[in-house]
Amino acid sequence: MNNSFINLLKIHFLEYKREPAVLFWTIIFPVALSLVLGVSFSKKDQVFQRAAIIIDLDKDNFFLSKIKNNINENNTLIYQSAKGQNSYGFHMKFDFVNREEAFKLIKKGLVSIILEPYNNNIRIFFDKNNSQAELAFFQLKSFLAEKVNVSYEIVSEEITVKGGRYIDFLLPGLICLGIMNSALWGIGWSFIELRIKKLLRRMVAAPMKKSEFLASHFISRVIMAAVEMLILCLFGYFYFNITISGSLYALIAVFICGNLAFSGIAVLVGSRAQNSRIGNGLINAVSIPMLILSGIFFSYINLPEAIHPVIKALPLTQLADSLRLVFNEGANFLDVWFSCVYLSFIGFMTSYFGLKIFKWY
Amino acid sequence: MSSCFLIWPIPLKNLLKMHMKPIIKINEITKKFKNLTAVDNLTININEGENTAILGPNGAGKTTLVEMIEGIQSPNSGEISILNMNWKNNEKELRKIIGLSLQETRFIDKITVYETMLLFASFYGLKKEKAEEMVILSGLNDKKDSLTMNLSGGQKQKLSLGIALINDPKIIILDEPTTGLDPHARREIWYTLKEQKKKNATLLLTTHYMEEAEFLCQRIIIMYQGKIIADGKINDLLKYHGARELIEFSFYGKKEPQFLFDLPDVKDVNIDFEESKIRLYVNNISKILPIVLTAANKAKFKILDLQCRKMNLDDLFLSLTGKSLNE
Repeated sequence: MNNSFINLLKIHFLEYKREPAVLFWTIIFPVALSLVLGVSFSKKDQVFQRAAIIIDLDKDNFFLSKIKNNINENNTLIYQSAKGQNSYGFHMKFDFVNREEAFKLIKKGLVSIILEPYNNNIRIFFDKNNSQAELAFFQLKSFLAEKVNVSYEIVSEEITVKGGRYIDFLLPGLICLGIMNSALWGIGWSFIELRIKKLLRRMVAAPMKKSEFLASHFISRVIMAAVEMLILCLFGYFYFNITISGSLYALIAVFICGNLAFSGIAVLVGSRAQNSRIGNGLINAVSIPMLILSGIFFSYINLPEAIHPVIKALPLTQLADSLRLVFNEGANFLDVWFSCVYLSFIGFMTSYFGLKIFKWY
Repeated sequence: MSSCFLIWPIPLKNLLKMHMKPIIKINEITKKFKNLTAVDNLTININEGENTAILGPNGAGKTTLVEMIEGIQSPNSGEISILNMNWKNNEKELRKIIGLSLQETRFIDKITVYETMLLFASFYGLKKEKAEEMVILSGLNDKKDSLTMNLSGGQKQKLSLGIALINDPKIIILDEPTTGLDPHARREIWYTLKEQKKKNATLLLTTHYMEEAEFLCQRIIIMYQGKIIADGKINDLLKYHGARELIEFSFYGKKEPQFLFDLPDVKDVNIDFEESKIRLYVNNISKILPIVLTAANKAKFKILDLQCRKMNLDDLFLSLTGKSLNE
């Protein structure tokens, strides 16, 4: 049997096999990145911290008023200890939220510590295994001792769950980054390269079935992205003890829809460019803003609130947020269905317009 | 440069006498790119089983013409019919009966010769055995497992030709199949094509090389500025031109030697001031040469590097357009 679709698919994998650099950049590099960032952000001091303070609207609390006396209009505490040999400072921004919201924020990695006033004391929730959270606690402790003079109780159990660490935030982001890059470069750039080589027109004139050609690109990229995700998950599980807290079906649905979205975008990006400079520019123009804005490495929560709706409309943001929901917040399909529909819609629309203007010859 | 220039298609009556039926009918096609007319209201028929070469310098419109025949480009106006089918309604059927090689095709770098052949065989629904057969026929059996990125220019052209022939096409269209190859590699391609021609396919090729056209094709079409300026068998083309031989020499100076235009039995005079060369198109060198030498002596005109030879297609093209085919 000499099936054209199987041959087209096989060629993608032969290229991977014969180009070890591709395997490095698509599989080993993200793992290395997660290792480096995951470990280093567990050890490194951070100047900026975020903490949630649980507020009870019915009660006026002395702690809240003391805190509010020490923060600026941005709800940020700028602390500098007494000058001396061990002098140090930090910035900590507070989110005043209800109890439920506070625990959501910590799971999303948006805050690393929670303060809950009760009676004349406070409870401090943080993950003792999370170095960043521990650092935030020690910073806060010195501030409380000097400025607030309140007794506190540390509650670690509720927080020492997976989902609150930087690596829990980072790993789903890296999976999304892999999906985006795999599609944009593996499909979009591949189209442009085949067009530059005039091989695309030769294959179509052969006559190659266009549907098989497109499907082989999509399927090979989905398989590669799935392998990359699997390796990242296994690495995350064995090294950082990360597990998927939500539904596996939801994870698969988000993964497929993310691939659909970025494959469609890749078809549009690769639909007409006929030289490498334009191709490179187009791919970078699409991927770099998302890479910066969509919160892959750091949450977009610190970016101006005015642009949050735009950021949330980006496919990479939708993908990363919904994948983090599944990984860290135990989401099931019903929690991510909107993102799935949105991503699929983007995928279909961009591929529709991409194919409309596609330059095969 | 002084030259005579005339648009001069040769009647096809001799070809029609051969009882060939047209397999490709091209009727008044025009293709424009912004302000440039690449193919200008062109009408020709290509007959079944006939080998036709389209010659012309760069920019003559050869590639645009064959790409329109291949269905890769669409004409702005006019019609192309192949075996009474057209690209709009019969693309699938036409792709199966045409084998083509584009002017410039690169392959997937990390794929071997055999895998590339296998891929293209599968596009036509052909079995693996056919891919193996074509690797051998293309003369690439010893390179079967080499990655295409490691092939020489000639080997890549052989692979391109092998792919063009893989479906035993009724019509073979090759766009400059040997450009840039050394003479040995070029001849290897020619012999592969000669072998394939035994299957009675119709061959249409574009080329810069008159030897290639002469070796492979009975019919020559010369294109210039989007138009056909000559069309017919090579001997007929030279005969119709009215001159068969050429006296060529170099000279000093920038002044036009007027006496050459007054010589009897000289069909045409071509003066190239850039290369300081003069070509006289004649019918009988032995008769004209003494007259030329005497007249030059009388006019105190110094002739250098004198050469006398039979006319070829390049000379014909030069006499028609004032330009060389290789420009």
